[in-house]
Amino acid sequence: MKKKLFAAILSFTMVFLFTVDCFGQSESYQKTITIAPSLGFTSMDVQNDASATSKSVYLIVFDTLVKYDTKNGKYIPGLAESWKQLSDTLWQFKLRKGVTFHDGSPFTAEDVKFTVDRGLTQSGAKGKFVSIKSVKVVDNSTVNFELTAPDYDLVYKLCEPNTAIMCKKTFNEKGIEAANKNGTGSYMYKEWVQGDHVTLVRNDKFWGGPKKTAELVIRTIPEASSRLIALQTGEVDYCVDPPAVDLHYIAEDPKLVLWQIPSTNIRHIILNLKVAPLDNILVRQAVAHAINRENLIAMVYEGNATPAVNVMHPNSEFYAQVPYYEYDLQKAKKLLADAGYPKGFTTTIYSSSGTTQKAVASVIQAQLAEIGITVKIQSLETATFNMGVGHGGTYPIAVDGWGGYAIGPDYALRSVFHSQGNVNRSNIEDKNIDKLIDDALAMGNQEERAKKYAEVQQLIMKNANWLPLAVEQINIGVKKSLSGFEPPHGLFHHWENLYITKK
Amino acid sequence: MHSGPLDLCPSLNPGGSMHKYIISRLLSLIPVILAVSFIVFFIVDLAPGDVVDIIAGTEVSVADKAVMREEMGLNKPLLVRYFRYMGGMLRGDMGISYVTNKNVFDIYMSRLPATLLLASVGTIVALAIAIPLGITAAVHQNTWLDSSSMVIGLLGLSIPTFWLGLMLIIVFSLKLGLFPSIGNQTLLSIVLPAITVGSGQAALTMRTTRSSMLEVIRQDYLSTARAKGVPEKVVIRKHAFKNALIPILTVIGTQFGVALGGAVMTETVFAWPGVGRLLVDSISNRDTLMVTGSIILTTILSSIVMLLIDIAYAFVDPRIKARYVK
Repeated sequence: MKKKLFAAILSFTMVFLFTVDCFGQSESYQKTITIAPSLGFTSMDVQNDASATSKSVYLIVFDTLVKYDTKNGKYIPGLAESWKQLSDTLWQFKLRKGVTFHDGSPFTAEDVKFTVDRGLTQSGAKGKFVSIKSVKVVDNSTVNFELTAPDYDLVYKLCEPNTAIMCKKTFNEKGIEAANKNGTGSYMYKEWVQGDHVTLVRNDKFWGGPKKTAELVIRTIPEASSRLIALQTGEVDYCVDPPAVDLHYIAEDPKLVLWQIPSTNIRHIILNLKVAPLDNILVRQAVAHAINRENLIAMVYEGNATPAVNVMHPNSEFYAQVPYYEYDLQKAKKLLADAGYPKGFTTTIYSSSGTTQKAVASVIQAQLAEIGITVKIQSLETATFNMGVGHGGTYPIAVDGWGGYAIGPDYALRSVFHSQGNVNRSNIEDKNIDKLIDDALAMGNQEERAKKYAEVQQLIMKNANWLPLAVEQINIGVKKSLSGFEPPHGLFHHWENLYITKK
Repeated sequence: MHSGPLDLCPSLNPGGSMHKYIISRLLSLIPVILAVSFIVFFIVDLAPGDVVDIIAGTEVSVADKAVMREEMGLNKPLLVRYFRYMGGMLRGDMGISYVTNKNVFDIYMSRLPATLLLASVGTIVALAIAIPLGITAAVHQNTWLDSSSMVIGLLGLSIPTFWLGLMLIIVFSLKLGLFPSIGNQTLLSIVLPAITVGSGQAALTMRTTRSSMLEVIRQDYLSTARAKGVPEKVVIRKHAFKNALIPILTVIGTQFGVALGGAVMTETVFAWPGVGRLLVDSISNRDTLMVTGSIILTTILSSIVMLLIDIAYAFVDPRIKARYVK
């Protein structure tokens, strides 16, 4: 009896193992890739969420009309197959045919119109659709965008995740919650456990062909050290922002690879034009001359950043070589004396409570002490900081970051330097600069446009109200076996092509 | 809020029934919730900046932010918002989180199991460390066993949770590969976080066990038991420890109640999806409804635990039980 039972168990086990092995071999790629970004996934609200991780997920679950190819920096067709300009203010988009949403509904021009119409009433999408006056459905796969004024940044804006195309039918029949889950992208939502993880499964009917990895898990691991250890133990395959001081662990580990990519973020300090004595250009120039970027990068980033000497991101096609105030303490002291402060003055620098921000504030404090300026540091928790340094704020100096170039040159410059800009934190009001920015947006000729933008960059750098310090790096640790890596664009990661080949 | 064994009697007529007592304790929760909700609502409102500053990021204009505030009802005076919120509460609606767009109650409930698990296993770990050490220290008072038990207890209390958690991960996950370092995906995931929470809790329980045992240990009835030839082990376990249990139970209950509020540091190091991190994240996001909702729910839970502990006294101590059972 016992022998028979033993034989039965043995044969069952063998059959089981054989079956598992067969199924296992049918897929030659690792089933799940686990990704640990530095911030958690916050919501499924496509048109409003402003957090980087949520937007990176929308890029996979949904599609935008235009996509950004991170490998060669080109804008390529997404749900729009092609686009052309019919006049200064009229654009026509030809849409991809045969695309379906995850629930099987066909994608049509009506969905584009619905997305833009709704987006114009939603905080996140509004800023990107703002130049669109109306969307006209020409036929099932053609839409015309009529603009309020010429906008040559439209294409840049249409690859921003908040503009992802949503399903009109789902919205009408099931409401916004269902519509926020139903995209056309290469992966579909499977599960979201708030504060823990979001799991995406491959969309086998994706118009671009199914991806190699069956499941992507985006895990929230708030503590950077824990994130790195999870990569080292193999629990995650892709770790964003490990602690800067521990990067050598990745470099030393033969199973891991460290990717260091220039981020779109320009770390800078803002000098408030409405607060004395910073309203005096001589004082601002003195501050600018007192800043030693190399020293700051060594102290704050352990050398993992590059000096920023212009308000425009160096990767932008509209980046211009413009003069900047180089590190020169003698000049700084003289300017300060000319301004009537030979012995310096006392002021305050505001920063958020982020580690980098606080470190930058301390280094600036030490550097300005060299020319006799006594700086007090006020580090505030993020919500308080954002409110305090808003337009019209009364802080004298603030540490900030700006990564707007990912949404086009107009967005990069208008938001911070136009008198009506959303993040005009230095309180700059210069009609000349406003006009240059407005004119450039309406220019189809790239060369003419570049000239205008170069002029803006020069004026701002001369005015010294916004002092660029460093172009930060994004550090990503991955398993050596991981393929399909694409550098992030702006704050958005591109995870859809990641895979690990099984040995 | 919490009443120990001594003030159990005044809250109840002698000879009254247990369930009357339970009902009166539950009813006393109502004013507590009212006070807690108002204070939390008020404090979150006092903090500079609001949820719109957080969720809109830098991409939304000042005018659009004003529109968002109006849509969310944030432009209304504090009292109006508070009474609206309480009106919703009466209908069992705790509101929608501004940040995640999900129901506050649902989010809290999705995080609660992880917290309950961590609090329970953490408490078990604490007991496993504290009770034997506490008894040993008391039985061998003023010997090296006593002092070393105390040192171990103090170490547990003074080592920062954050550091201990990371060290445990480095040794047991990274070097030895025995346990997962993050999340709560597998059964083994609980081990390291529970040790981290438990070792912090153990110290107080241990000290209470020691002092409570010391009080009992020289009582005459123990000498009687010994004289009757009862083995020393049985004397300690059955006669001494059982009588020393009430203060220990109080400490355990209080610590468990606190643990239900979440262990923020442990949850952060181990990426443990509990309510502690939910609360801290919601505070920094100025997600008023989520903050208030979480605190109210935690208050209710902690009160229920305190009540259960009070009831447990009756089972531990026949003298207390005799007051309720006719």
